[in-house]
Amino acid sequence: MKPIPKGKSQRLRVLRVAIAGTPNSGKTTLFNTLTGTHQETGNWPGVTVEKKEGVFTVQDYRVQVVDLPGVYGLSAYTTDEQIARDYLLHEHPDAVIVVVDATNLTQGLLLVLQILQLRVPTIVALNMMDQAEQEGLEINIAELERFLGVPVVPIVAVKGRGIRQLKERLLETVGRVPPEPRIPVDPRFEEAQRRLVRLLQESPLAREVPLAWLAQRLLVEDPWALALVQKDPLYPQIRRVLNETLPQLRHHLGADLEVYLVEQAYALLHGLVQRVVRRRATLRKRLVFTQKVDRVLLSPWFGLPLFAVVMALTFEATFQLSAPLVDLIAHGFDLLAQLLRDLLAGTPVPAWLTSLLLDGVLSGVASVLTFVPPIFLLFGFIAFFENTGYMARVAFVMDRFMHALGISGKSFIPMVLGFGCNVPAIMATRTLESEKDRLITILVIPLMSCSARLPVYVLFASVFFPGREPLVVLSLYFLGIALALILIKVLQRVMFHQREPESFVMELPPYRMPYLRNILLYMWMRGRVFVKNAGTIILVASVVLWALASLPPGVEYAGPRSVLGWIGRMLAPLLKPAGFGFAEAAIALLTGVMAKELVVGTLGTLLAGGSVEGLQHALGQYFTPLSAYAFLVMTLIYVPCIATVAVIKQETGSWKWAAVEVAMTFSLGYFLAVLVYQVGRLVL
Amino acid sequence: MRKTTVFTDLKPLALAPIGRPVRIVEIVGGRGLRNRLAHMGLFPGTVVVVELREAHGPVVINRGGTRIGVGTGMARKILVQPDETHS
Repeated sequence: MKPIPKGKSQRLRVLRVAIAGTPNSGKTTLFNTLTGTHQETGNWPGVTVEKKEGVFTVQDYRVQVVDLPGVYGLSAYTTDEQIARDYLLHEHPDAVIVVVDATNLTQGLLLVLQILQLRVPTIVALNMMDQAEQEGLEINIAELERFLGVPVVPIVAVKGRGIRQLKERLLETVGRVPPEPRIPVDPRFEEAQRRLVRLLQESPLAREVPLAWLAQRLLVEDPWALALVQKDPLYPQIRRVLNETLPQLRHHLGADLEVYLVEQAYALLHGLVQRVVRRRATLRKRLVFTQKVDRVLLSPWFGLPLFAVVMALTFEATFQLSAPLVDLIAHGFDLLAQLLRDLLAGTPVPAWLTSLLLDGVLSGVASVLTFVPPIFLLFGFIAFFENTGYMARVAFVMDRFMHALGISGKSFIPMVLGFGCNVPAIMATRTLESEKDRLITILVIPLMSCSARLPVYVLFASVFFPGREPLVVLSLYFLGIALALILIKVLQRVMFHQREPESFVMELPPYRMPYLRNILLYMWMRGRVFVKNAGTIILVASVVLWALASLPPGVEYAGPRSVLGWIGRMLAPLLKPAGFGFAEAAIALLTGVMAKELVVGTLGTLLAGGSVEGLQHALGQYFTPLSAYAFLVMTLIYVPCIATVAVIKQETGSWKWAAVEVAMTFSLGYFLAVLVYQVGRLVL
Repeated sequence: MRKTTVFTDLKPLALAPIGRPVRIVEIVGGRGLRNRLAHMGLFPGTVVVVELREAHGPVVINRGGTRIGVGTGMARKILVQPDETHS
C-alpha cells in the first residue's frame, strides 16, 4: 500500500467499508476501480481464503476497503459465507457496498436483503448497467431505492462510470442504519420470531447482534446461532420456545425452514423486479451468443479437446515465453555477481562478507526474480480466462473426470501447471472457490514433477539406464501423478471427513470481453505479492543455506567440512535403507531443498570436482541402478523446494500447512525410496 | 407417505429431456445442498429448462434467463417431472 503523504493524512478521517456481492457481480472489478494499486492481498485469519484490502480517498475521508468473498447468501454453510457474515456482524464496518449485477437483479437483491437484516449501513452499487441497457432492461432506480430504503447507484465498474456518485453517496450512507426489510412470512413464523426477540431482549446478546435476525437464525436452526445462545443464561427458555414452535412451523411451512425463508424472499423480489424493471422487446443477444458458444465449449466432443489445447498453449506460453526472460535474469545476475566480485576483490571487504553478499543475498534475489516472469504470464492468462467467463466452464468440462475424485474440475489447471513449476501452480489455486479444494490442490501440487527435477532424472537415467531413459523419466512423472490422485482421496477423508464426492452448482455467466486494465492489474498484484511474501522467505532461506554451506569460515562451499557437510554425514545412515547412505547424497538432497536442479550441481562438485564426465563416471561407483532409481524417487517426492514451501505459506496464510507439506512429502519420499530399494533387492 | 401416483414421470435432472420445461419436485440431499440450491433460485416447484446434458455428465439448466451449471453428482439428486403448465 502506498502511504499517503504525512502532512495530508492528519486531516483525513478514516472510514472502514466492506464490499460484498455475489460471485460474477463484478465485485472485484469495483474493488480494483476504487483502489487501483493501493491494495494488499493476504488471507483471512486461519483459512485459505484470499483477503483483499485497499484504500481510496474521497473528500476528507481515507476509506479502507475490504473485499469480502463472493457469496450468494449469509447462511454460513461455506467458509466464504462465514467470513462475510462474521465480518459484517463483528467488525462493525462504517458501511457496506453491495454489488448487484443489473442483468441478474433477483439474485443480487437476495443478498442485499440478507445484509439489510444485519442492520449495517448499506449502499447498493448496481453494476453492469451498460449490459442491462444493451439487453433492453430499464430499471427504475428511484423505485428500487424506495423499496430497499438505502441508496442505489447505477455503475459500470470496468469503465469507471458512476464511481464518483458512488463515493459521494457512500459518505451519506455512513452511520445510517437501514430500515429492516419486510419479507412476508407466515404469521405463525412471525409470532415465534417475536417470542424469541422478547426473550432475547434481556440477554447480553441484545447489544451484539440484531435480535430479529438472530431469532430468525434460531428458528432455521442455524448451528452457529444455536452455539451462540447456548452459553446464554436464557438458553433453557429459548430452547423451550423452539421446541414448542418448530414442529408446528415445519408441519405447515415445510421441513426446511431456511429454504422456506429464501423462497419467500425470492417471491418478494420477483414481484419487485416485475415492478421496477421494464423489459423492452429486444433480442437478448448476449444470452443467445453465450448459449451458442457454450454448445461447443461445454460439449465433450469439442469442449474437452479444446480445453486440452487451451491448457497446452497456456503451459507452453507460460514457461516457453518466460524462459528467455528467466535466462536473462539469471545471466544478468551472474554478470553482476562477477562484476561485484572483481570490484570487491581490490577492497578491504573480507572474503566471507563478499561471499555472503554475492553467494547468499544476491543469488537469493536472483532466484526470487526468476520466478516473476512465469508468474506474470500465467496470471495474465488466468485473468483472461476468468474475465471472459471461460474459467467457469472449465469446472463444467472437467467435471466428469474430477467428479470421481471429488474435487472441482478447476483443480485440474493448477495441477497441470505444476509440471512447469510448482510455485505459480500453487498461486493459481486462487481460482478455486471451495476452500477445501484449494487446500487439497495446494498440498498435492508438489507431487507434480516440475521442470527443475528433470535434469536430475536425465543425468541418472543416462548413466544407469542407457537406451531406456524416456521410460525411466516417464515412470517418475506417472508415479507423481498416481501419488497425487491417491493423496487427494486420502486428504479428503482425513482432513475433511468427506465420504461422498461433493458436486458443484454454479452460475455460468455470459461471455464478456475482458478489460486489459483488469488483467494487467491482476498480473501486477500477483507478482508483487510473490516478491513481497514468498520472496522474503526465499531470500532468508538462501542466506541460511549459504551460512550452512560456508561455515565454519574457510571451508569449501558445501564441502564435507562445512556445517552442511556435517549434517549430511549425520543424515547418511538414515538414508542407508534406501540404498544411498553416504554423505554426498545427503548433502545434495539438502541443497536440492533450495532448488531441485541443484542436486546435480552439488553431486558434481562433491563427487567429481565439477566435471560432467567425471560425475557420470563417479556416479557409477556410488550408485547401483536400483539405488539410483530409489534416489530419483526420493528427489521427486521429498520436501518441495524452498520457493514452493514459501508459496504454500503465502497462499494458505499459515506455516502450519507448509510444515505439514514438508513432513508429509519427506516421509512419503523416504518411505517409497526405501520401499523401491528393499523390494528391488529382493526381486532383482 | 406421499402420494406416489403424482410422481410417475419423476426422474433425476441428469436424465431429464433437453429443451422442455421441467419442474423440480424434490431435492434429495442434506441441508447444505438444499440451501445452496435455494440461493440459486432452485426450489421444489421451480420450473427450469435443460439446455445441455451429456450422458453421465454435468447439466446446464436455464432458470428464467440465468444459466446454471449443475455437476454430475448434484444432477442425480434433483428430481424433476415434465411441467405441463409451461409447455
